[in-house]
Amino acid sequence: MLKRTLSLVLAALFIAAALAGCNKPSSNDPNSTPGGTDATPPDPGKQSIVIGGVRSQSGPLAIFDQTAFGPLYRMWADEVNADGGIYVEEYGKKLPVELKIYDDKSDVQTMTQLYEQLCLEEQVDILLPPVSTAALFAAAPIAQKYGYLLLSAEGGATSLKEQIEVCPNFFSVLSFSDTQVPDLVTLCEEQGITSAYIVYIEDLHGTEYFTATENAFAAAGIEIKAGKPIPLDTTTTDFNAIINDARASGAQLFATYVYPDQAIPLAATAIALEYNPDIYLMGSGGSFDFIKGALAGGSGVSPDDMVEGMMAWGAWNGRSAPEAQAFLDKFDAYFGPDGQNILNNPDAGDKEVYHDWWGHICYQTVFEIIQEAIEKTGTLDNQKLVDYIANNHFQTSLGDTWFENNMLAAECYYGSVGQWQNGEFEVVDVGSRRTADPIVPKPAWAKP
Amino acid sequence: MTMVLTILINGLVFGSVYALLSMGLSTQYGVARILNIAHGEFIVLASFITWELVTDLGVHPLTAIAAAGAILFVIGFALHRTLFKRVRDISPNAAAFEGDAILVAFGVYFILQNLMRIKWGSQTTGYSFMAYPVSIGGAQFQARSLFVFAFAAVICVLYNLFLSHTRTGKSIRAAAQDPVAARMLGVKINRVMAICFGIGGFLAACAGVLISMNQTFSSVTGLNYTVIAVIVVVLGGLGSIRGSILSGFILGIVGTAVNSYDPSIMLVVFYLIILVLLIVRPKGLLGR
Repeated sequence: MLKRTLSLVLAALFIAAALAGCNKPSSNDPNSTPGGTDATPPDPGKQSIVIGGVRSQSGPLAIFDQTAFGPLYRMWADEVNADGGIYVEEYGKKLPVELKIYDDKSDVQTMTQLYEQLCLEEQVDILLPPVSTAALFAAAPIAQKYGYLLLSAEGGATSLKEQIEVCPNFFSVLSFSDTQVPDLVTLCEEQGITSAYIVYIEDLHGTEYFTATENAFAAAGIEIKAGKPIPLDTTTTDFNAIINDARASGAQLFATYVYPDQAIPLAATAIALEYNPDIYLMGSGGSFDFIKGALAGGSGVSPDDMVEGMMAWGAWNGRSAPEAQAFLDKFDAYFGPDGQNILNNPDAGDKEVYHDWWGHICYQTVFEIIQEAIEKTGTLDNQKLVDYIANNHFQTSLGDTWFENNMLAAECYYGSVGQWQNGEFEVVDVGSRRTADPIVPKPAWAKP
Repeated sequence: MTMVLTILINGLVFGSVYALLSMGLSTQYGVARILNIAHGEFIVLASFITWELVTDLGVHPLTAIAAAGAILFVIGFALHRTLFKRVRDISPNAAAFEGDAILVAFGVYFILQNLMRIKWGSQTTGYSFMAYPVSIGGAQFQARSLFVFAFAAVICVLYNLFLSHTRTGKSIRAAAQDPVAARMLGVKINRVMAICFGIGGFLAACAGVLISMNQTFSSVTGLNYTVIAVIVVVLGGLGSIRGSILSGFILGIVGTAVNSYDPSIMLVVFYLIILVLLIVRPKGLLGR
C-alpha cells in the first residue's frame, strides 16, 4: 500500500508539472500577426503590437512579477494605449500594444517551453524577459534562435556576458554584482569596515554575488569571516544558527545575497536575536517598500523605524535626478499616492504595488528604449531594433542611457548601495551619486 | 557545550513544528485514506488569518487558533462530506480511491493557493511577535521560538489524550485500525472520516498560527510544508500519530545539526534518511 501510495504521489506530481506547462495566455488576439523574424511585407491590417512574455505569476518567484517588472509592463501598456499606441512607420499608423503573458510557475523548464511557443507558434512582435538570472540565461539563446530582441529585467550576472557573445540580441539592463560590488567595497573602505559575514542563496545569483564579493574584498583587505550557502527552499533552514554564528564571528558587515523569501526571515531573526552589525546589507528585497511592513507588522514599531539604517542593493530616489523624480511621480499617479498608503491597504490583493528602489527605474528604461527604438526605426523588425539599441544613446528615466557590449553602461545607474533613513531609501555610494551620508554603525533595531 | 545546547533546543523547536505539521496529515490519511496534498495550503491560510487578526485587530496571535481552527475544521469537514465522500462512493475499490483522492487534493491545492494569491498577493508576509532573545546556558534563542515549542508540545500531548481518552478519539482509532469492524461495532464511519478531515484542518490551523509567530510566509509556501509533512509522516509510519511526533523530533534535531554545518544539504539529508528507512523498515518507525 505504501509503495502504491508513493507511486500515486509521484504520478500526481508529474501530472501537476505537466499541467503547469499547459497554461493559456492571459490574452489572445485572433487578429495578431506574426512579428519578430517575419521577412514578409508588413501586414496593412495589423491591429496591435503583440508583446509576449513568460513570467513567474505563481510559485516562489511570483513576488517579482507582482512587485518588480510586472507593474511596469502593465503601466507602460496602459500608458501607450491611452495615447493611441506606438507610431510604427512601416504600418503608417499608431498601433496599440497587446500583452500576452504566460505563467511559468517559477519553473525555468516551463519557461523555455512557453518561450519557444511565443517565438515559433505565436510569433509575437516583441518579447518581454522572464524572471530571474537563471531564466534569462535560458531565454537568451531562444530569443537569439528566432531572431528576437531581448532586454533583461529581474536578474543580472557576470555569466550573462558569456551569453551575450553567442546571443548578441540580448541586452542586460539591471545592475548586478559587477557594477554593485565595487561600490560596496569603496563604501566599506570609507567606513573602515574590515570584516564581513555573507549568507548567499545557492543559485546563479547568490554564488556570483558571493564570488564577486570574495574576490573584491580579498583585493581590498576585507576579511570574509564566513560565506554560508543556503537552499532556495528555506522551510527547514535554522536561521538562529546562522545569526548566532555571524554574531560570534564578530564581522562588521553582515550581507544576505538571497531573495526576499529568505532575506525577510533572516532579518526577522536578526531583530529577534538583537544582532546588530555595523552594516546590515539585505540583498534582493531590501530595496522594496514592502520590507518595512513584513518586518514591523504587529510589533508596534513604525515600519520606517524598523528598517532604519538597513542597507540594500539599489539604488535611486526622487532626488537622484529630475528624470527619476518624473518617473516616481508617474508611478505614484498610476499605482497610488505613496508606498505608505499602499502598505496600509492589505485588502488590495494583487493590486498591491510597492516601490522598488533598485529595479523599477531600470525596468522602466526597458520600455522607454523599446518604444524609442520602434519609433525611430519605424519598424517591428527585431534585428533592426537590436542594431539601433546597440548603437545609440537614449533619454530615459535614468537620464542619458546607453549600452556597452550589450550591458547597460555602469555610469547610467543612479547608485549601487542604498540605506533606509527616516523611511527614505537613500543612495549612499561614495561620490556624487550619494543622496545622504551613510549611517554607520547602523542604529539598534527599533523596539516597541 | 553551547553548540550542543543550541542544536538540541533549536532541534526541539523545529521538531515540534514538524510534528504539528504532520499530525493533521497523518490523521487524515490514517482514517480517511486521503493523502491531502493541500495540507500546506491549509497551514498558510491559517497563517494569513492570524496575520490579519494580529495586524488589523491587534489581538494576541494565539487567539487566532479559535478563529482559524474553527474555519479550517469546517472547511476540512465540508470537503470530506462533499468532494471526497463523493469520490469514495464512485471509486471501484480502496486503492483506486486513494489515487483519485490525491488528484482531487491537488485540485484543492491549486484552487486554495490561487485564491490566497488573489487575496493576499505573492509577497512574503509576517508580523513581529516576542522579538527578543532569551539566554540559556550561554546560548541565545528567540523567545518566540521557545514559545512555539512549548505550545506545539502542549497540542501534541492534548491531541494524544484526546485520541486515547475520549469517545470520539476511540472511534477515530477504531476506524483507523479496522473500519469494517468499527462499523459493525456501531462507529459511523463516514461521520468519523469527515471529523478526521476536520481535525486535520484544525491541526493545520494550529501549525499555521504557530508558524506565523516564528516565520514569514507567503501564498506560495504551502507546498514546502506539505513536503515536510509527507517526509515526517512517511518516516513515522503512514497514519501513525505517535510515529509522526517521534519522526518530527528526530528530523528536527538531525536537521538542526546538519544546518549548523551546511544549511544547503538539509533536504538531501532528509531524503537520505527516508531512503534508508524505506529499505530497512518500509512501514516507517511506528507503522504497522
